[in-house]
Amino acid sequence: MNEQEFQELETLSVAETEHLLQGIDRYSIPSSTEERIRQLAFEKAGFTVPQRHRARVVWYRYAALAACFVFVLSAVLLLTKHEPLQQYQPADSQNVVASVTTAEMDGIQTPTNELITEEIGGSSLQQSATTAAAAFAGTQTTAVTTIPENAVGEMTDVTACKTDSVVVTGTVPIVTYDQTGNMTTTRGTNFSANQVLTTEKPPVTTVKQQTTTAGLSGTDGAETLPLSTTAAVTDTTQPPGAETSATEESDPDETSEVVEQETSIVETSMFTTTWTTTTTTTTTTTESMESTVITEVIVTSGISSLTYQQTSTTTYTTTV
Amino acid sequence: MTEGWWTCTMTDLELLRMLQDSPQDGYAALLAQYSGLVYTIVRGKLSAVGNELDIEDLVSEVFYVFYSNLEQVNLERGSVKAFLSVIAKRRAITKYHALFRHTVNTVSTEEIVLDTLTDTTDDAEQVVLQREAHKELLDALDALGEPDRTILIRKFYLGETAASIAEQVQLKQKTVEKRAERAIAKLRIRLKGGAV
Repeated sequence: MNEQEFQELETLSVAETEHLLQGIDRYSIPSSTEERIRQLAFEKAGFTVPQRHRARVVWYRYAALAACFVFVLSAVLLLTKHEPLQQYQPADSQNVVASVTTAEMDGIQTPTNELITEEIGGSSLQQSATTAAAAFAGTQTTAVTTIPENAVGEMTDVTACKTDSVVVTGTVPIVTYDQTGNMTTTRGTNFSANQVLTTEKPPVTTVKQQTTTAGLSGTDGAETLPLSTTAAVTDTTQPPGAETSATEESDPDETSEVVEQETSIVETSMFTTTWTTTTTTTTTTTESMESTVITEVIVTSGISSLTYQQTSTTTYTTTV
Repeated sequence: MTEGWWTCTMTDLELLRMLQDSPQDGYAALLAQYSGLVYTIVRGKLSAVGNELDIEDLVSEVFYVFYSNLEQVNLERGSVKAFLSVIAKRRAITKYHALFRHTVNTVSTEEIVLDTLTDTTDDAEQVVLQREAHKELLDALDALGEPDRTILIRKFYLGETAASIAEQVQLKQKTVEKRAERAIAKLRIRLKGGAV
């Protein structure tokens, strides 16, 4: 059997052709060809070519296609519907603005309120205070991850308030909305902010305590004082050593200033017999510097913002 | 009558009734329903020797011949589809020869129509022998099963290309070609009386 022999099929009768074509019902014909054949056939039969009919068919086809399109579009929209009210697209996260405010306190609040604002754009991240925001922005990789309004993060450490910079580390909570609008909060990525203090250095409070003990005993050459005399307690003269110590500033920063100095004679005793007065003076001078740094990191994204605040107090004490 | 790609096809009886009651609408319905079939048959035969105009002209002629001889169409003998197929096939063969300027075996339109609609021939013995051969061939084709049967009919009766068949039977073109080869081998064995 080959193609030539298959020509036997060309002489099939109607009934045989009926049998042959059973189940074969799909045929393709270009629409333009179909239209030309229609016109030719109508002309041969003496009919008027039904242009209006054809136009109506085309119109119906377009209408049906449009209806199908609308149906499919509606279905897609329904299936992909999101309800969360606070949802931020990744594009929002690319424009995170980090504001770092550092206030310094030393008992007398002296906030510096230096505001550093820098816009983070894509990969142009910098090693600065805005690194925190940049790192945070890097976590916003999905459309459903966002920060709730007024969310509070957790600051884990503030170090180096002694020097000219403050390093802030912490974590950012990540809030994820599912498609039904339920919110899930998870611990987010660590961040770190390195804030360079460009304002005046924290003032140092130096407290100097002097303790002078006067002990009296009867010894030769001692000055005799009447028992009734109480004037001995009036000696408030600072011991020379104490005064010297008081003027020394032991602050390693060397920019500290003495804001308070106190010297007191703690005890004075007097005896009324033969007096030899021996005065033993013990002077203790303590210098201390206490610096409190309140660091506040505000990370904003869209209408949300995160505020981190931590107070760090460091006391430097030098005993002279 | 409504017409379009989303509508169901009419039954042959409805179609014939419409052609009689409202010829123009019936004619339009006939064309809408069967132009693909007739075009496929004619194109399969003439694509190698004729151009697109020859094909379109012949297809339109097939419909006109059918319409002109409507009173001879008997649905008990076969469907409209079968009648149109036979007319298309035989006229395509005639056209094929004409394009080759063969004068032999060229028959007139009237002869083809008469032959198609009545299946008459002068040589009764020849008819019997031919029908036996046809029956044997059709049975052998049926025995192939699907999709091999459809592939062979589309390839050899409708004259479709492998690519076109692949699209219709939803197989790869290479697969269609392979299956056609194997099916012909099976058919040959079966027609020679061997087991497949």
